[in-house]
Amino acid sequence: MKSFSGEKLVGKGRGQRKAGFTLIELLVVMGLLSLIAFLVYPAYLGSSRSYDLTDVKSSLQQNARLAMKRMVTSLEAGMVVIPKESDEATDGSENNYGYDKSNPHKIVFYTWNSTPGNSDNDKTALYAALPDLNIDPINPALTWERDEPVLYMRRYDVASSSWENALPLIRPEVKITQLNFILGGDNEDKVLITLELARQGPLKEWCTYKLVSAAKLGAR
Amino acid sequence: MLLPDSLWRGSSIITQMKRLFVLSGKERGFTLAEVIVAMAIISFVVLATWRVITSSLHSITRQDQKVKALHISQAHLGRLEAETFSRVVPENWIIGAGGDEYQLNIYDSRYPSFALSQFIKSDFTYWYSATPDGLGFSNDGEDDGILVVSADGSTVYTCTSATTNETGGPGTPEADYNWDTDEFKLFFDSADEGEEIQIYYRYYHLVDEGATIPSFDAEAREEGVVKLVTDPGDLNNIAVEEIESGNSIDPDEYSSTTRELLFSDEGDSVWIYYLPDSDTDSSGPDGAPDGYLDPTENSIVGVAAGNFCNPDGSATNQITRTKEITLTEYWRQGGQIQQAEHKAYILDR
Repeated sequence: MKSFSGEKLVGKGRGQRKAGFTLIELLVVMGLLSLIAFLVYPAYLGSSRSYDLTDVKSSLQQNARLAMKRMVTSLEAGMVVIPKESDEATDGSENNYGYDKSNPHKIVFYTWNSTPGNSDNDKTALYAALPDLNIDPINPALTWERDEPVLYMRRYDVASSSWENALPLIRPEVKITQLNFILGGDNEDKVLITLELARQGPLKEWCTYKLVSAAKLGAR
Repeated sequence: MLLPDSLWRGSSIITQMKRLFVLSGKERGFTLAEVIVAMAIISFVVLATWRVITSSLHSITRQDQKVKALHISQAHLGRLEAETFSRVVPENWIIGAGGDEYQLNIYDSRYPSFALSQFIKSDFTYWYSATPDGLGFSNDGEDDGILVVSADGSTVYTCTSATTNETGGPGTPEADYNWDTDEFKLFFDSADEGEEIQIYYRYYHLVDEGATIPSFDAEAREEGVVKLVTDPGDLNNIAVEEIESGNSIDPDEYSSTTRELLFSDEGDSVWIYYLPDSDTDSSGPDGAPDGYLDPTENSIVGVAAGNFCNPDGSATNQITRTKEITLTEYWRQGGQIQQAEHKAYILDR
């Protein structure tokens, strides 16, 4: 077994002059490498953050687009919006799903009955519980976590005379910062929907994405 | 070397270090040429890396704007699809239905300045080019930016007068009208009563959005602040209506940079509609006008136009039960105007 004598490092057999790098050379190279790293790193960091930011934004866009699509499709399958004053939109307790202009972040409407042999129309609710410190959080009983606003859809089960479990329309890591249903048209059959979602970016900053769409009840 | 020779003596490690420090005659340092070449290579590497990264960032921003432009466009199309068929451009109307005057759909009596800013006053080559590239209407020779034709497309109505404060029809026998350029009304005569007409024009479309003004600071929300989808430029281009009462609300401030609208009416749910900010028209070849105002650095400007079409999707200059709507959104990117086009078919249900 050959012993490690250190002689190879100085390249005795091939002459001293080309034996390896001098310390000065190494220092210069390291200095240059450090300089390159120093110049490139901020750009790399910016690029990396930008990638993360794009990821966050595309996730927001995707969530908003899908949620909006489902809301528009549901509304276009609907017939008439149920006002808050109607008993049709209550769940038997104090919870009222009905549409109220002063709190336009929820809407309830009739759809054609999907249960064979039943003449009553189905009811569908689209809803976001937005947190508000000044008034009681809107129907917190309808959300799973009191402090987290949730955008979801509920259907009324005619057979059991109760509202089915809520179907969430957005991912849990995304927050809802705005949801509005604005009724228009001569018969109040047109609905302008605004949905704004937020999610934290790579620097813990909040990125928001707002999407607006319109639907006509019974258009499909 | 600067170290005294006595320090090196008697140590094999020190001897080797000494060897490392003591340069041979041929490798005493870098030549000027070596240094310049090395610096050039480093500069090239850094510059190339920098360009790749900035180009990537540029592309991401551009994609972001494009996605937003398409969403704005889609939202307006949604509005049009929810609109009464005859009120979607090109509007169609039977003369005499409800009187002899017709109010264009883009006019809003609460915000007449919006309508004036929305209307694009220029003749549209598409109207007059021969089919299949255009609709093949006879050129009315008028630069009033509006075209009124009969239901079958054979008769182009003559604009007898186009001024403000028009109050009635021209009083001449047939196929003409007066055009009120202030309140966007068309006045016809009883001679044409019962005739169905099609009314063509183009316009910069508004952006609508709803919001509940935050009444407290929270994650991702700031008290009294609503962030808009795109930039209206200043408060004059923004209208706000409280949803419950229908009353107008005046926002306190608007920042074009952050697109944040500040209110003192916290807790109210509002409907906000606005005209995106635009600049002078200089985006044609060599800075010449191209007929459209340019978007500003932070805004997306949309233009709407339409025509009737056949069931197979081909354009026609006669009234049918389908309208083809084209929305083109413009935005600025790196000193250039970018655009994205969106088409949809609206059916008379």
